Amino acid sequence: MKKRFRSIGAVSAIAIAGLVALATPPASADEVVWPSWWWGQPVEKAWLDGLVADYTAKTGNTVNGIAVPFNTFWDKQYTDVSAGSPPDVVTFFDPEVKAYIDADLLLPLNKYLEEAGISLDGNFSPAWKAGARDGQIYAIPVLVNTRALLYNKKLLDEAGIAPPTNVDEFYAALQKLRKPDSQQFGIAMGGSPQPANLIYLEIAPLISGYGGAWFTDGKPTANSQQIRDALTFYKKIYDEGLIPRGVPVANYRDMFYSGKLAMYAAGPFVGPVTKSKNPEIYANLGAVPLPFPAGHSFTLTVYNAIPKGAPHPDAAGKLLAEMLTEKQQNRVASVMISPPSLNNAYPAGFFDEYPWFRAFADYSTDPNSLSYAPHGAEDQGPEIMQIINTNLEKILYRGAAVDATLDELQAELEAFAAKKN
Amino acid sequence: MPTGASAGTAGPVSASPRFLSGAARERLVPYFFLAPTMIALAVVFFYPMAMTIRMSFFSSSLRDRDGTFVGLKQFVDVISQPFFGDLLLTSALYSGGIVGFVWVVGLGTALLVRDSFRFRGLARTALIVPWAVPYVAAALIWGYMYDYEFGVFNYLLVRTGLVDEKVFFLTACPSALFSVTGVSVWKLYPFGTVMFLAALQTIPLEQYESAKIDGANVLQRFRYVTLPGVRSVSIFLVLLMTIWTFGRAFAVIFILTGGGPAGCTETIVIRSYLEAFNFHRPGTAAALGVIVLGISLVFAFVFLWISQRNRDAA
Repeated sequence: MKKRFRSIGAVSAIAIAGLVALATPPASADEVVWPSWWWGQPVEKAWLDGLVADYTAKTGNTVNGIAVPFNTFWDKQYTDVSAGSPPDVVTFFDPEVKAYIDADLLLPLNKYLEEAGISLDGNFSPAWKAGARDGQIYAIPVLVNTRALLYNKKLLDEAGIAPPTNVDEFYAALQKLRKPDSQQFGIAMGGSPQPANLIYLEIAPLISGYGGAWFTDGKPTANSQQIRDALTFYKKIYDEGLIPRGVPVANYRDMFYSGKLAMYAAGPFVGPVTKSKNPEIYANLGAVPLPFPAGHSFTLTVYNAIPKGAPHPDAAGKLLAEMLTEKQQNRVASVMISPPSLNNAYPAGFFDEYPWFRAFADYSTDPNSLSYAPHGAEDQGPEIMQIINTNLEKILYRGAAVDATLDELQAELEAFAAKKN
Repeated sequence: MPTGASAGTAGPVSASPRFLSGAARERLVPYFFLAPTMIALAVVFFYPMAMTIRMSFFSSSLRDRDGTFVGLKQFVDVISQPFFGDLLLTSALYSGGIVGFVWVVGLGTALLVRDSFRFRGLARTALIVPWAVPYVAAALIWGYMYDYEFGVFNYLLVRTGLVDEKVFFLTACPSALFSVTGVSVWKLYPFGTVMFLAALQTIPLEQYESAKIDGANVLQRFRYVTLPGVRSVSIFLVLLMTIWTFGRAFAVIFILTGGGPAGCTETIVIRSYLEAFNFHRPGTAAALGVIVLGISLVFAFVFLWISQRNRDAA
């Protein structure tokens, strides 16, 4: 009996040891910790899952993706990094990447890119330069978003109009598309007190479309004629009730998805979201260049980097390099329906499947599409956006005159820039 | 703490060795019971507060994580900013508005449900409901109701003919400040109701009957019987609400207006958040936090002083 128990014990021990061996990754395997709001988004997560599968197959390393809601993501990332306990991979948009590089918080990525045989210069969107300094690359661009004018063809057809190509047609379209009885609007664009960075982005298509820029080469250009014209037009359509007033951005995006908003100057992310929320609207989705005098758009790039103090920098470096491979960049287009940072990395037949995407693809390679961050003052982006937003709110909600307010804003930004320099 | 007492000193019935004498154990027992709370308070309250006070004296940024000692510079910088006066005024108006309206609505609703009537229990329960709704949920729901284009308030106001044109609840000043204050009043008035209801129960009915016999009308009975009867509770309520609302003027405002339009609803607490997480200046944010703490402490000391005085009088 005793012998029998001993045998069972030995067999069990061998079985457990075998299971443990199977479940344990190789000794050299690392787990890359990567918090991001993308893990909680269905489209982005599909891209991430494919990326991680390929990465794990190549390196044996794994990825611990932590879903963080977008609303709290920036606060959490900032807290992690500033407290000295960063994850392996951090994510930025244009203004933040410069601030982190200037603060010397990121590791150079050159060796990982060289090991993977990836050269950014000439092959990728010029946006990569914002992630580099003194010959060192600190952040890689994963995708380069742009803005174009999305429209609901059915609503435009009902109003008997074609997609607008200039500001006069656009204004006439807004008047025709406004139907108070059915709570329908031609377009939505800011129009409610919201966080400064959000409103800054929402009206950025108008500013760039008029050829304006809040900053040029580190100097404020807030009272340029282009911005005066853009905001005069903006105030006009706001005062005339041609855009929803006091409606938060998230709510008017839902208006577009539900067919209450005929046009929306936004990024290509609207396409897949519309498809998932309302296939009928998606079937009528179109996009054209911004119908404003200069017609320029801007870029909003998603960067990834490795912070100093990251627990597994080498494993994270390989993951970042994998993101820039042709296969993963193809998948940025085909899975995320976003402009990849690798030039022309669109899979065959992509534009047949997504004809509305052409306007975004063209803008993403247009040399006039500059970063939305304040040019030359990117590291001060959040504070500049706050100052701009406060003055914008004075114009919209407190009856301040456009010209006088922009002159005051220019003086305020000049004083701010002088103080920072 | 071991006292060195041996098993022998514990008495003849004690067979096993003891580290503490019976008296010492008795003295320490309360501290053992208090220890979990004290540890929790130290970790989640005192340590962060001490760190915030420390941060307010150190200039820190992403680059300079440990910070450089700058003394009172950040306090001077913040107070000398032109917007500081506006922040203080907005915070005071917001807190003052909440305290005033919670007092009025709390007392009014308490008077309504004091006397016995059919479904009184149900009415009392319904009045308490806002207290149970989380701040974020309340702010989101009120945001929909305030909506200029599609909100129910504007729909009703226009349909009933009370206004000719819709009201900009959240996009004009000072209506935005009134609107965010309204949400907080709605959230907090049940606390006033409960406190006043308890105070009203302590007023002897004989006082009302005597006043009635003396010919006092309803208003006079309210003025000379009810108000003196709820005086102590009123003082506590005002002080407590001031401490709470001044230091917590954040969630509703952040969700509904983000401090806008054009700074109309920007309180010190909202600014502190912006300084820390938007502008990456934790030192300045901490200085603002310490200022709020200082103001709250003044009210807290008044609260404690009155409590002590009442205890002594009793």
